[in-house]
Amino acid sequence: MAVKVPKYVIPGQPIVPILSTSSTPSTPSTSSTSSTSSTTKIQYEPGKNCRIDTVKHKGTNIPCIVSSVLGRVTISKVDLSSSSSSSSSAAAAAATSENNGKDKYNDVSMGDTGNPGGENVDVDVYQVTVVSKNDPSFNVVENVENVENVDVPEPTKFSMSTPSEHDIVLARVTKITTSRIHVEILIIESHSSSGSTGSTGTVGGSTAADDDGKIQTRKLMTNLIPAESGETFRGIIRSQDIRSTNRDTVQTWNCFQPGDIIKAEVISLGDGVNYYLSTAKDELGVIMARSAVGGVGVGGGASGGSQGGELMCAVDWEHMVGLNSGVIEPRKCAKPL
Amino acid sequence: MNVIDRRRNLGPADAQPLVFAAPTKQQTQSKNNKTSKEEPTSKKVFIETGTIKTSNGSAYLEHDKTIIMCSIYGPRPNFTRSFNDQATMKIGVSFANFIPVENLSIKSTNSINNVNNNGEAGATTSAESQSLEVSRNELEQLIQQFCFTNYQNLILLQNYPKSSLEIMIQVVSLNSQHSFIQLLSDILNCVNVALVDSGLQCKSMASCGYFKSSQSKEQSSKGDVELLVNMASDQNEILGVYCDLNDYDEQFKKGFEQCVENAKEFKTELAAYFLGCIAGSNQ
Repeated sequence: MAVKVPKYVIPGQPIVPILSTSSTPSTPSTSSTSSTSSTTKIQYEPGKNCRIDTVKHKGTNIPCIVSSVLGRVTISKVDLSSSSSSSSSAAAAAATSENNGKDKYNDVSMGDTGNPGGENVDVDVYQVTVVSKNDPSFNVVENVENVENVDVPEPTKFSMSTPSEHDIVLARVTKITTSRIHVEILIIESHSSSGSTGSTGTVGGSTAADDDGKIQTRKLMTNLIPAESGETFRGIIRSQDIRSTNRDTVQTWNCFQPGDIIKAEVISLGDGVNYYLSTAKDELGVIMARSAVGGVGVGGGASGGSQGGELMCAVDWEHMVGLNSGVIEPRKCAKPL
Repeated sequence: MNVIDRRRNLGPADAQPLVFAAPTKQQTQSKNNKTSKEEPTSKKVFIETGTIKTSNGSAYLEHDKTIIMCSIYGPRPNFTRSFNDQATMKIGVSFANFIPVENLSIKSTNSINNVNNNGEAGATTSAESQSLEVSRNELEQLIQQFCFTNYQNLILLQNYPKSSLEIMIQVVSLNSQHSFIQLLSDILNCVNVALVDSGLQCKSMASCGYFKSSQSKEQSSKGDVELLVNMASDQNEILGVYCDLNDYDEQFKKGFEQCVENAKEFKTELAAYFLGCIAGSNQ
């Protein structure tokens, strides 16, 4: 019996049982392809805004994926065979190759005691996520012919999430000391747990599509700045987390300056006040900075800090140059694009 | 003795009193019919979401001249020295200054009646229970405590570490005929709607049912019975119960079942409204 998945859900509404023996999952979203045979088991995992809860139905308790927010259900196939690769490539691979996401699972490990003898059972793993109605990606058009014409919505909504581990964030440097960099977190760039490869998109967001023209991955920015208070989440980059080589000889003032906009990864929730961030990857570091000297107008001197100078661009991994004056300042630059 | 009416209290001596025409029979009937239409047994509830743009979620509820606004802010950074693995929730309740709260009396038999009562006033409806007049601050504290215990278990606070959530409740207008429990049920429903609008992760969409024995035309010897039940999900999970009963007898059971039915009915209406809204906005 095919499992019917609701397209829109309210908080607490069951979406789908975690295990299903149906031949084809009836997904409301177009982000997955049905590639199951009659003998394939389907396992659903809770993604963002979902959780597992027990629902009582006709006297029996059934573990189900339950929504936590009001929004739209999307189901995407999890490619376990290439888990080390990026999420975007995994999604594209799952979309282009039909049998790519099918893995051999031991039935004992899946908790299925009805099939003794250790016989392998084909299991497809799908991830169920709910896109909240406040999420900027909620209004993204699903079926598009030309990906280049897709309008990526602006991050106008305030965030309903907090930074978590492996999130890529944009932050502003507020203070530097010899041992650490203090920043304030402005934006979560991507909420996926893609790790180092999740930050390959541009700042403004990007989309990718498979052969059918369906959007597979989206990189959207989530604003973390509260509306009224103006207080932001704070973070710390320790000197040993600035770069991955020569950690002991890092000079913090040669890597960042107050006012720089940086891209960093959350490595820990930290203490009560600060998140712990890291820029020890090629694509992490300063993405926008102003020079301390050579600026026009306010703060042009050395005492004015980097907020009043002219805009600089990266010339190599460790230097940025002013666009007009040609002044060169040291920074830990992020890999552009 | 001078008997002249110098102050003109009596009016002119030849004045004639005004005589209005007696209403005809047809006019009297139409007036009665109009009254019966204007005052149905159950008043309609008007709800609007997203009224406060600067908040993460907000709701406006209007029920029989009682107006309540709720706004939700967060998750915001919570700067405490100790590490909080879950969000801290703050609830603020405020009555508008011009609202008379003297009619809102709570009974001393309530289970959560732990506020400092200044004195006793008003007529008691039963021998055991006594109406206690409380101040504005005490009422706000009482609502705040009850809401906190309700929503502490509903919102998934563990998904928002190192942050704080704020729920602000404003009673803009109050129908003088409404009791405290009826006002509390409206407040809970307003917060329930605002929570769904905010997008905060919750276990379920809650709804509150209200019951009053006089509404169902059942007069008991012990007087009116009021009860509210805040439901969390279809699995009959109860977040909070507030009643003014002494004896948990058959009347309590009947009122409880009626509250549950009202809550389920209200939740069905809300679910249809929200699903219709997001389906329309996503097309």
